[in-house]
Amino acid sequence: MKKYFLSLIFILLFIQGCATRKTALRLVTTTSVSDSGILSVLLDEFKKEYSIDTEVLAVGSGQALELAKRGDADILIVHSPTDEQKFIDDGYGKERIPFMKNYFVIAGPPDDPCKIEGEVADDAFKAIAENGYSFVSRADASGTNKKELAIWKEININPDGKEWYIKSGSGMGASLILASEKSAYILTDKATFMTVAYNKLPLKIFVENDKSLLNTYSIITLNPEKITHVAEIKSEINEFVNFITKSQKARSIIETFGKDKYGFPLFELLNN
Amino acid sequence: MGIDIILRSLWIALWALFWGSIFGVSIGIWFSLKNFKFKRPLFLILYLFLSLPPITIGLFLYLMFSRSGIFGFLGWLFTPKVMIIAQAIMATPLISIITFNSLEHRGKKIFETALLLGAKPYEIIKKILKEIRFSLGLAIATAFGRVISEVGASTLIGGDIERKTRVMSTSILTETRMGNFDYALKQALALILISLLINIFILIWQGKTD
Repeated sequence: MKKYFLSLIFILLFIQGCATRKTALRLVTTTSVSDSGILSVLLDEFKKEYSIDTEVLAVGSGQALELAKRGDADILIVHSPTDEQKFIDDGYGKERIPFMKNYFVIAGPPDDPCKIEGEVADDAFKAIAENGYSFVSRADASGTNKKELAIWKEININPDGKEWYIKSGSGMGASLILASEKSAYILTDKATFMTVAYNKLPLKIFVENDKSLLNTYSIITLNPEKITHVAEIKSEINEFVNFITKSQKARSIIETFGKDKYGFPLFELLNN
Repeated sequence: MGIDIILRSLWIALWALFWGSIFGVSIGIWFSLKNFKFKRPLFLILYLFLSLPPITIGLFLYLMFSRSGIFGFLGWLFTPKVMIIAQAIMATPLISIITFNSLEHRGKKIFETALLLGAKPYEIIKKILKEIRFSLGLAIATAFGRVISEVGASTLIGGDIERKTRVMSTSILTETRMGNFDYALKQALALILISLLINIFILIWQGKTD
């Protein structure tokens, strides 16, 4: 009995040695940033240069901000400008630095049953609603979801509760898969579309390059007066912010990421 | 890439079973030997925990271990520690109820006989464990199956963080959602294989201690 017990402890300690790492800077970010894969490239480079470990928690922008309010995040990368401003006005956030952008696009089944190709976003949404054609909404208070709701509001249509309006309640990648299974239209950021759907799912982009579909990613630092634990890791946070927003290395990663695979970069730099 | 996820799953599940067994067996033996006033209500609570959906355990732990919760100062949310706690809470009632049930009529007899023979306390416990090894093995195997395949609470309080809290069940969920079916399928096969191995190990152990 004792022998079994000791060997069990030994096995546990051995596995523990293999599986754990020490604590790290916790970056809470949106699924669109992490699903595209750009983050792991940036973070590997950051680790190489500063030897600071980071861990990534990928959730919707809305949940990211809520998590941070509860004190469970060290730093944020999100894309929901209105919510971000409120977050700072409420005293939770200290600084908001927009650093990269891309565009939202509207994708749908390849035969384009609502004939939205080349339209602007407002008209495309109107056409989908008029035809009562299936549309997948993230419905998770993410940045993409907020953008979608803003468009519905602008054209004075309330899709909530409609037969054709499908609420997925999950991340961008999962929602794209759902849209392809249901052959529905969907609003998505271009980076996740290229990573998850392009050449893999029966979905095609019909509306893009619409100025109103600009998608801005910002890095947000937390106010140590309200979220006290960030005061202890101030220097690590500063180094991270500087690395992402100022370093030549990070800028060149953002400028080129995805170019070799898709022929164009998935994100663009923002000059501020 | 997948190996660290498998090791982490095992490490978390085995620690949970370790604590679950210690608490579960202690509670089970205690209940079978002693009669006391609040035994019935305590039993009810044990059965309640047995049928508690893991996601609700996850939610309570989330609120407790979030930095604005009562255990927030520990900074344990989104670490393997709180996943172990959740899984141990899932394992404990199962093990304690089965321990109790298999001791209910014999527990006192074994205890008294052993005491009469002049056995030391640890020898008594050893004797009791030996008597119930079959049902205990079954309980631990079932608990293992329950905790290693659990995904809701693990995602909620672990966060599925790469290289930190991503375990087999949560990685299957994430990768399937991203459309990486190949990878998800490989993880699923590994999960099945490990469950099988653990069960074989338990069967052999039960045979050996005869």
